[in-house]
Amino acid sequence: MLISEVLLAYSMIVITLLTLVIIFTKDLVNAVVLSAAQSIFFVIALYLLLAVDVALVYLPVAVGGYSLIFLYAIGKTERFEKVAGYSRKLIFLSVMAFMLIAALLIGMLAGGYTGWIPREVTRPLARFVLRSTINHLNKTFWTSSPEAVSATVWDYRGLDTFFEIAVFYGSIAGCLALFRFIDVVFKERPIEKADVGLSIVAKASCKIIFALIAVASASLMLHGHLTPGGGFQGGSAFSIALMVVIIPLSQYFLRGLGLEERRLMLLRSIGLTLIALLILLPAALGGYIFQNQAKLWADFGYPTIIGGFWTSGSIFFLNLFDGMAVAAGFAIIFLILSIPEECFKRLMKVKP
Amino acid sequence: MNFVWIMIISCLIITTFLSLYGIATRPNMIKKIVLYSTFSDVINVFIILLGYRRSLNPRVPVLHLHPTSEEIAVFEMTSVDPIVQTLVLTAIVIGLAVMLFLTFLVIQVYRLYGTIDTREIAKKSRLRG
Repeated sequence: MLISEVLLAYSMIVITLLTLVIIFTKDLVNAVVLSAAQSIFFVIALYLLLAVDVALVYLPVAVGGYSLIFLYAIGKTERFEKVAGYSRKLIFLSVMAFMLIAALLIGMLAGGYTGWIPREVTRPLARFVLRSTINHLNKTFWTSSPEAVSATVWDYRGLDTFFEIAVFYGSIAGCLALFRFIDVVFKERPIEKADVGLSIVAKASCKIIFALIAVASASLMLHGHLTPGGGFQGGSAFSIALMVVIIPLSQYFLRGLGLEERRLMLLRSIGLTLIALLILLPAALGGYIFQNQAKLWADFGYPTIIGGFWTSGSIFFLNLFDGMAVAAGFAIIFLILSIPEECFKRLMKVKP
Repeated sequence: MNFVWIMIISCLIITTFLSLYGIATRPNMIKKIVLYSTFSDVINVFIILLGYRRSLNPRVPVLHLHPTSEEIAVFEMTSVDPIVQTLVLTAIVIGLAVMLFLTFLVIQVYRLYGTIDTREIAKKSRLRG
């Protein structure tokens, strides 16, 4: 029995119990914090299953991003769930009985009939990717990236990633449409010196933390084609760093630096345009869309090494631009969430 | 060894059903969204589990820049599946996009109805016609 399997089972049990507590707690802040704790156990599980890239994207998104967005939403709406009270003992007993029966049933099913355990050989398609991604001897299908996940994201299954970027872009456009009175808010109430945020100790320590997270996210973004990481991982980590600045220094600090919604949207659009150019350029020069390295039937190929730095063809640049676009998109969301709700209510003429 | 995997998989299945139960029965919309995030995470772990390989020394699908042909052969035979990881990466990003929009919709619902309790929203919308 491997220790990693035991740890995996342990984190799964904790996840199940935390789900129960989340269902029955009435305080939503409590539920969100417990959900963040649950996400940490999900990250542990993903790491133990050797999905390091997924764990790296999951950590900023679920532990940082989701919790912050939910907490903002609770702050803008209401904190307690109005449910008729259950007897706590009854809840506990029924849930425990349910779990016991379910575990026994499923355990018997799994052990007696299917006996499923992960297999020892992966699928042929996976073996093909692993065999050809950095094969110097047979360059027919190679991507020149030693990181098989990044190679799949930006080369073998590039159109999937394009779809993903499109969905993310559309969702941010929808969020902005729901908060469409931003300009009017700032015309009515110009930025004052009074909006300064927390004390100097909090500000100084948060600046140090900002620098640390920014360096880590830059490393994730720039080395995503060589080591686990990538554009989305780095971009979302950087947006969490921005959030660490927004909470103590207030949103007006970022706005004072010139990082407001329109500019961030511009930055995001520039990133997406550069991605579009990079993926369309091979098609114009005799290759196909999303081509990275030269193939036998399509002669176009991006250079593998530029100035002594291994760029893996277009993968490095795609990671960089994607990281830029994602960081800007997240920053827009956090900025519009940190505008006080009264401004919007007054503008929408909602009865209090 | 089998027992540990039975444990892992039954916990995953129970969490799936518990989160679905929560989505169906809790009236508060934010609670529904939080449980929906749990639900999608469990499904993602399931998919990752499909690409896991239970050998003595499974490894992360990352190699170095100048491998020899022997190293590539060993890499092919010991590394876990990179394709399911890519799919889950995409799924997490799309899930995040959906979650962002859902949260903003909840805020908008609160602006319009003054509550995010689905029962009260149903009453109010019936009154409005």
